[in-house]
Amino acid sequence: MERTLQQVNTILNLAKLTESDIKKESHVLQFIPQILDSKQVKLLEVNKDTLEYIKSGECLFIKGGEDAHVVVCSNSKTFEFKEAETSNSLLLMPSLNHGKLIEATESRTLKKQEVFGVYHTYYEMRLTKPKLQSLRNALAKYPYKGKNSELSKDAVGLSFTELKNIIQASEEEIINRLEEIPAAKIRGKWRLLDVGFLFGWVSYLDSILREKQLSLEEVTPLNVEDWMGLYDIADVNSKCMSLFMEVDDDSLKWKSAAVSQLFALYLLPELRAFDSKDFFTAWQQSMPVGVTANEEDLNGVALVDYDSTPSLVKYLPEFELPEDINERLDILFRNRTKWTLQAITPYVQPLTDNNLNVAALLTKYARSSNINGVKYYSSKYITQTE
Amino acid sequence: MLLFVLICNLSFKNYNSRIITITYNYWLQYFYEGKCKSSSNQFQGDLETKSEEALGSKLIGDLHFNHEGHPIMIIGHHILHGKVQDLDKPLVVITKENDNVPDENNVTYGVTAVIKKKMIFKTRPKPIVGEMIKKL
Repeated sequence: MERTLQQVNTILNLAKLTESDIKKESHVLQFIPQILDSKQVKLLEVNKDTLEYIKSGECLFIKGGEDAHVVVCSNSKTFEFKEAETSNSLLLMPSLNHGKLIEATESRTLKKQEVFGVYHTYYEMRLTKPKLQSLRNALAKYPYKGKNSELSKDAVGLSFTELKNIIQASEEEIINRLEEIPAAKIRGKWRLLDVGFLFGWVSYLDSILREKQLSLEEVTPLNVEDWMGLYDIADVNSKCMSLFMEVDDDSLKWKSAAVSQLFALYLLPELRAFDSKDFFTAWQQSMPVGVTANEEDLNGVALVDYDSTPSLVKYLPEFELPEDINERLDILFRNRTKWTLQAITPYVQPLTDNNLNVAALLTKYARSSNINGVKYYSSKYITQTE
Repeated sequence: MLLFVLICNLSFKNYNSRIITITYNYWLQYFYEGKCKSSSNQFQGDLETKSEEALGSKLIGDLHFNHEGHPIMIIGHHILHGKVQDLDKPLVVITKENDNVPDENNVTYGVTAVIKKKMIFKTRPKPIVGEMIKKL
């Protein structure tokens, strides 16, 4: 049976209101015969940028990971995908001329207003920094040790599409990370360039330069491409150049820190903890002409422990540490009890996001102290007995 | 007892944007099914699965507007005075597509509507005196 205006007016009066209190047009709210099924139709809360992105026709991608972790990605950003429950009932209905726009009609009218469904749940997207270590780990399963060391005729590695499927990050974030790490696309598949191979590449170029009695500054990118064209394939060579050289128009310079770190990464793993005097000697001696090894370059790669006798250099590369802040700090503080900001930054920097920078993260998850005017960070939890 | 009812005004449009599932995990199973388990600490408790069939075609109540443009709803024995507000963050309505495809990795949602405004109501109990109210 249809609801009549008389019935509506009766209720209105019982509610101690009269028709002069309200606008002439009233609505009867009624559910549609088949209301929206929450399996089929869902509500997603978005911010203004994401709404514009959606309106422009771009897609979002849901990526599930281990356990319950789910992200949703645009082309350039990654969001945590979470369910939110509200104690309110959300009734969905199409646009109504809410109050202000109702034309002043002559007579009292009653309109039917459809309600499509009721919801108690919606989904939230929270901007997050993707955990991209999985990218390096995935590629490390396919190390590239040089064109002459290839075992299989078929291309091994992961295609970019496969990477987009398994890495919980947006396309742009994956591409940016691929540029930063020693990854290269070989025969269409992405792989990680082996440390030993990279060391060999730089050393080979250095030996050519020494033979010709030239410094890197005196040669051009084209020279390097030509010489290294005999050593390995073009894509690999250009990646190595981008990793270890600064290219400015036609002039070249070694990236000192990158080369030093590479050599440390190559020398250290054999022994894990190296007598520091031996290490520093070997390290400096192996450097290409024109590159000086600085102890600071070890930041993020190794730790120098002056407290032990003899003092040791410990292999501790950032990319091998867990991505959870507490787990990472635990390992760092077990290796060294007190850290300066400068020393700990390379290890903490990758875990920062829009809201928390290095200092903020350390304030939150570590304890700071002041010794002789220098600020040190130590564990919030472990009390050192030394 | 406070009861907040939000009425969200949808505006329908044909959006080309899609929400596409790339990789699947067990949480997404619950997402697709519209249920959740209280054991996972991401969720905020059990959800009731409303028996949606029971609500179809049911009358909810009357909606009026006073002269200031504020909505007034009468549901059963309650008057609810409300306000029209912008949502802090817009809600988009997403609708599952290709339902016939059983492959969970292929689940895609289309964006069917955007909600930017809401009418938010709180209850005040209102006594009903005298005659019974015939509610359909």
